[in-house]
Amino acid sequence: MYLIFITFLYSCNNQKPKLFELQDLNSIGINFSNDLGFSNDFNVYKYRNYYNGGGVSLGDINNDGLIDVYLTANQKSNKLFLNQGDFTFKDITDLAGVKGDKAWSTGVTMVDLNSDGFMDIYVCNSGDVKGDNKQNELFINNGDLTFTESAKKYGLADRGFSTHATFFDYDKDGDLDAYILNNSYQAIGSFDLRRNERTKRDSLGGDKLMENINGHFFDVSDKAGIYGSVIGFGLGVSVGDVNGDNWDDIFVSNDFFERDYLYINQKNGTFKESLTDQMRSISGASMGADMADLNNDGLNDIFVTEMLPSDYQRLKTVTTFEGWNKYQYVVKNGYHHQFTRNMLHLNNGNNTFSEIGRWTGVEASDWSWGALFFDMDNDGFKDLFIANGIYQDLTDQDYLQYVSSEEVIKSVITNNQVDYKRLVDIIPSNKVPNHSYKNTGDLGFENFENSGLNIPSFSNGSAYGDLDNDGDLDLVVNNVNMLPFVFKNKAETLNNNFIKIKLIGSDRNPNSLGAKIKVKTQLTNIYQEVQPVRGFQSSMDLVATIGVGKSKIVDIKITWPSGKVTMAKNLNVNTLHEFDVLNASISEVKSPMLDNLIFEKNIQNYFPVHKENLYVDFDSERLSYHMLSTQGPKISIADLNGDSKNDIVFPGAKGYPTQILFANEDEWIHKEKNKNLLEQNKETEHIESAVLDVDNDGDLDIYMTSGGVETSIYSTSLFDILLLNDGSGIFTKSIQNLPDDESKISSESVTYADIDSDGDLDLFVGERSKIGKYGLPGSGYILVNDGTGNFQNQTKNLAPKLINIGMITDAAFYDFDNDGDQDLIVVGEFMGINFFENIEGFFKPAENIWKQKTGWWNTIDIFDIDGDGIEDIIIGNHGTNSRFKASENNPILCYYNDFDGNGRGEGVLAFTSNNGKEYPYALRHNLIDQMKSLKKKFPNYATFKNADLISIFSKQLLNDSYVCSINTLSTIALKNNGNFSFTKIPLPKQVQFSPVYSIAHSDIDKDGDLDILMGGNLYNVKPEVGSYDASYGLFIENTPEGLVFHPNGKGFNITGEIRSLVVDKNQLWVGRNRDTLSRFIFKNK
Amino acid sequence: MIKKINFKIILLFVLTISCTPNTEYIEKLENPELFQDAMQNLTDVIVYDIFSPPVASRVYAYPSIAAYETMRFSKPKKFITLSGQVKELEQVKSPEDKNINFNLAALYAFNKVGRALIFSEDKMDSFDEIFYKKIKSFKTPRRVIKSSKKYGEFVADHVLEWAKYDNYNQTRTYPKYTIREPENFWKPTPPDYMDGIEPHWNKIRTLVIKSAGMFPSKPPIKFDLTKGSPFQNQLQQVYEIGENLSDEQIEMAKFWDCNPYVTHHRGHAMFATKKITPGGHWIGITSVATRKAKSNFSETINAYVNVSISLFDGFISCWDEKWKTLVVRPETLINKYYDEEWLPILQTPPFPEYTSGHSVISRAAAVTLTDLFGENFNFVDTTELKYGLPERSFNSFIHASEEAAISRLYGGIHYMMAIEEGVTQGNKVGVFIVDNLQTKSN
Repeated sequence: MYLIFITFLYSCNNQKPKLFELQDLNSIGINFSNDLGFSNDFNVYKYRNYYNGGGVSLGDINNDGLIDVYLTANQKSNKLFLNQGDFTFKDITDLAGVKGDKAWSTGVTMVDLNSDGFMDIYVCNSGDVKGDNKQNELFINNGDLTFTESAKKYGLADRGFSTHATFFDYDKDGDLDAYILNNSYQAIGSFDLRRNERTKRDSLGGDKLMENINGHFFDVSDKAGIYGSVIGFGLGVSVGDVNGDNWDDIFVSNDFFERDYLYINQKNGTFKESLTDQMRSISGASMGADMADLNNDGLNDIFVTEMLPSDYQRLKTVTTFEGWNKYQYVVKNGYHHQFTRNMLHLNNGNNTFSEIGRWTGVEASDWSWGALFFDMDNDGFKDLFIANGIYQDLTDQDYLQYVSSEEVIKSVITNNQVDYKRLVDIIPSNKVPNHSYKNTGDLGFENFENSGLNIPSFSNGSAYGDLDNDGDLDLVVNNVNMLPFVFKNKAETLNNNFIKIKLIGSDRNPNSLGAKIKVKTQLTNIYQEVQPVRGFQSSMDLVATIGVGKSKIVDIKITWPSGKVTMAKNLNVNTLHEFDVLNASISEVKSPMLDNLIFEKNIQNYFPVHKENLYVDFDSERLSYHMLSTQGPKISIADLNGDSKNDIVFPGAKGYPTQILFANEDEWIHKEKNKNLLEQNKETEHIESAVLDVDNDGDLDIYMTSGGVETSIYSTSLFDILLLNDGSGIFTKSIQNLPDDESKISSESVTYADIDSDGDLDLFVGERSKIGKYGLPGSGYILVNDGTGNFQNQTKNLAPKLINIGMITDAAFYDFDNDGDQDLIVVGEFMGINFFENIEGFFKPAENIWKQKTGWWNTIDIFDIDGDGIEDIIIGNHGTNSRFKASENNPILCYYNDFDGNGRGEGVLAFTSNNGKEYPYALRHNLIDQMKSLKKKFPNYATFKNADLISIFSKQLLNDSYVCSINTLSTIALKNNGNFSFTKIPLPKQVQFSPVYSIAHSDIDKDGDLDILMGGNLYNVKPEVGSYDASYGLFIENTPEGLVFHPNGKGFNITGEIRSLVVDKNQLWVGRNRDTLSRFIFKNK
Repeated sequence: MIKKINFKIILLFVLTISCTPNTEYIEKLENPELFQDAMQNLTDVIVYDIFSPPVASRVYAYPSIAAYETMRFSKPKKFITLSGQVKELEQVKSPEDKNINFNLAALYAFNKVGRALIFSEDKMDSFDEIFYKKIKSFKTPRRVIKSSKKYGEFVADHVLEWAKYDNYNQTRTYPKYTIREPENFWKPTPPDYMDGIEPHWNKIRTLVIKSAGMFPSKPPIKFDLTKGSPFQNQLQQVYEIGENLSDEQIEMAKFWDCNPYVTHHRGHAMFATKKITPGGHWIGITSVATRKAKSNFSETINAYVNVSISLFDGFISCWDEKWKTLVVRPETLINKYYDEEWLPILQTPPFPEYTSGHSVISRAAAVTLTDLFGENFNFVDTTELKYGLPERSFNSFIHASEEAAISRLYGGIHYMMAIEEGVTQGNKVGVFIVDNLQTKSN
């Protein structure tokens, strides 16, 4: 999470020259301000989108090579400023006749709609207080600096609550069609979420796809499969090709409870709305969006803005998050997984996206409207600008809970009439700095502190274009109740090169909307599409200004909307190049991105399905963020009946019996006797099993851990069970209480080795957590075998340091020091990487630096990564695509104590801020929900926003608490240097996109080294931090150059929460929580 | 020089006062409005802090008990201690200090317990300030103030120590209700889909009734959506009645809404209206009744303590039933099966349907008030004026309670069965308390 106090940041970065220079509007001739008044009939309570602000459109209306500026206003008149060169502008609104007669203008788009060589202007309107007077306006350029309003004539005088419109040739008939984005009329709060009205077309508003037929636009939404319902609260529409088929697809971002839409062009005049197939997590109250390739892989990614504050104090005063129950309800009713934060949907190139906003650190930018990806510093990588701010903090929690209601009581509501003026006047108003991020290449984004753009404001629409023709992109931002910002880009001082490309298209699409431009520089491949409508209510200039870094010459490839191609090599930089479609050549369309696959998914209908009991951890552990009740199934594969075929142990969650399945031709069979036995134990949450011969009778027995958090700590079903094999695969349950008679523990991990070299297998069992006491440590257990399968807990004697070591998730025995006996590695949640040296059967901590690498470790895999004959280690962690961030200097802590003295302890999660203080993650109301007495100490949000842990509790209480902390969230690979010494091996960054719960290795491609497979994800997470779902399974190829990630996994590509990966000959078994067991067969090369 | 003279004058003045014994303040401290003000202040803070109905009943009960246990020493023969009558309350040590004014001490006791239970102490501070000025203006001798405060706060501590063991603190972290799939079970309701409140309120120590489950209701009618089935009839009645409500019925529904926190959404903008809880409304009726009956200071406290005890036990009794039966709200079913657009007149409160809380506690309070003030005590209920609602007239407390009960049907938030059974349950609680709690000696 963001730990930085932004206010603090400002005061101290005035030294270096800024990249963007804010212009004095008086001296450049722009007199405009989107000022809003108040009336009792028309205000933020009466009109939902009152503070949504205006847009910006940039384009050359008189073909003089200078970009002109059009700005929309909500209550005043829109304005057109003619660029007179040298960064001076002239207001020609009245002369041009484009001020607009309709009420409440919103989005604006410039495009040559009638193909006469002059840019026309399309303005969207949302209407006045009566909801009337809101036809959109189309200003057709007469070519002489005057315009004629002709919306009706073109069939574009839409009467919806329009936010914006974009033009593109969706059916490839050569002309431009339109998508009109309409917000809903209906009041929020009048919707019952159960009633999902998505498929019902709204007769008044609703989004519309308009087909251009001979210059007149006709609504073809229904036929084309476009939603246009009263729940479509569209605030952003982005058009582009997301699947590489050269046909334009559409992304619509919807505010409030409706989910976003992703329409895939079916190339037959229709679209298929495919968002839920392709995206896992999406923004809740989505605002604007942009579609652009931000990692230069030639694929359009999608960024959607939301409202999550980046500033800690604002987070603690203006934010609430959906509770678990509401979230489940919303998902159940078809609104998908929505979370409060910006989303960066990385295009995986295989019709899926991975959401990596948290990984890139761009997920929180407060109340955000327009987001634009453009290369600010001409280094060849698109940076990110976010215009944000809301004139009044409508969600200020003190206002909502205390101030407004006091005021309502005072103003006395009669007949539901409220004195809105009084109610509105007292809403706090705080400017929030706009956000800018510098793209450091390779998906890295960092705060662009020196951009000069991060000015506190109430910003909405924004647009970029090279206003002064100096080869970099300038920026115009429209603000509410403030002058707009016009920024001059000074990138020329950085000595980066650029190339400008102007496309001259076909007759009916002269701007070549939908064309694709690829620029190959020395360093990278830049990809962008000609689409003027981006961000929020705004449109960009059509001339592509592309930074190319230090490259002196570049190659380009233009793919025209028709599919024709223009290639040009060795183009000079720092100049404008024009290309005409007439000179393009026909090119065959390559089938997109199918690399040679290795894995083939093979799931049979007789494969078992994992099910979870209905249990909500957060009902008891209210302050925890991640559920511990969905850890299984960790499957085992082994021959249990001696028929040389591998059988499967499939652990069952509480309420569902574990299954022991025997392979038999084309099916798996249960054995009736086993079934009865397992049925008797079904009230136990089984997570992991170990398959080993405990009694030296030559067959494999099964040790099952019994864990989870949904069982009473007094229940005997918490004892682990040992199933003894009669040799034929019929099991009986051992009468032993395991790990021992005293230990009804929630265990997860089990592993085995002959630790005392007496010829039998001994066990390690790890306690996962103390049920109901999240934050307290569990213990590891060393169970010594007497040779007949009877185990004795010898921990106290052999490995006392395992007692209360932590929340253990995994452990493994291996001879790390190569002295012939089995050493031990133990990891867990809030734990370091603990090595124990086996000294004649005693386990002594082996001290090394890795013990200090504390993390939320999940799993261990030991194998030889680097081919030196010594086995190395990969340890799966939480990953860094998370609201949780940890480092040496900023550790995450968990304090456990009975803070409110009510007899029940609580674990309080906190982060360490840069100021050295520790702050709780929990919001005020969530903390109070657990500790009522805090409400007295913090009677409102304002008193809470600066409170650190010491002032919330007390030094004494904190000192008396059990504390654990972590500093590492990355999954890591360790090269074994022998004798417990390790060094890090770099892993591909994609490994960190999601928690890793399982790792397997095998020489998949038969090239002599071991390749890596990983899986993870965790869905049952509080909406506040959001589901971890960016992984589709990872296939990492071991090559002489290092570990290489394959975007499509070479066919290993699967959704879900992977809990176990097991390689069995040429099969990869995938155990997933609440999903069917899956199999991939890999072809041996 | 001037200073000196002034000093002498003041000295003289003080001397004069102490020479002639002043009893005027005693009379002024007999004014029951002092207690009415304190109670009104407590109500205001409860509204401000947004206490849920059951928790609010606790915030009313303990301060009232503290006030009563203090006040009764002014007429120890007349008012009987609650110790031995309410669970686990030990007798408070008798006062020895002769300077104590028990009315004043009762006010101090009330405010201290109230302050401990609410959240916004700054609201209490401003009240205390005004209160202190008023006491001073009565020319109450300092030693009287000091002794009364000391004793009042002593009783307050005694009551708070006892309150500590009512399981309130423990139940704060008991598990939340996990939503169950089958449709006969309660689900969170629009527009905010809030989690159910106080699923463990039946674990709170009762005051007079023996246990939370002492007065179980008949089981709710079996869930069955078949047209014409007894349950479906109940549902149909709620659905249909909304269409045909008279203005009077709508007014009734709104008058008795008593939802402490109703949210109003306007896009991202939102505001809330706060009102008194159902218990708060009956505290308000108690103030109307005591004023109309011209109850003196002690009688006023006596009335409040009786009413607040029956509200307290009434809520426990009702909540026990609610979270055992887990009956789904009509809104959930009507939206799903009959009419997606249907909205109840009142916002459905966030807890299971059966029995109706307002029906239970209104009846319990009405039975108590009837015992105190008689059967045909007519009154004009002005409690809701402050919250923008009109006043309403009633012939009797029972009349008011019956209207409160049926208003929940008009409001679209309860089935008839929950109202009828709620009234029955409330009656049992009220009668039991009347029979088993004796505050005034005969």
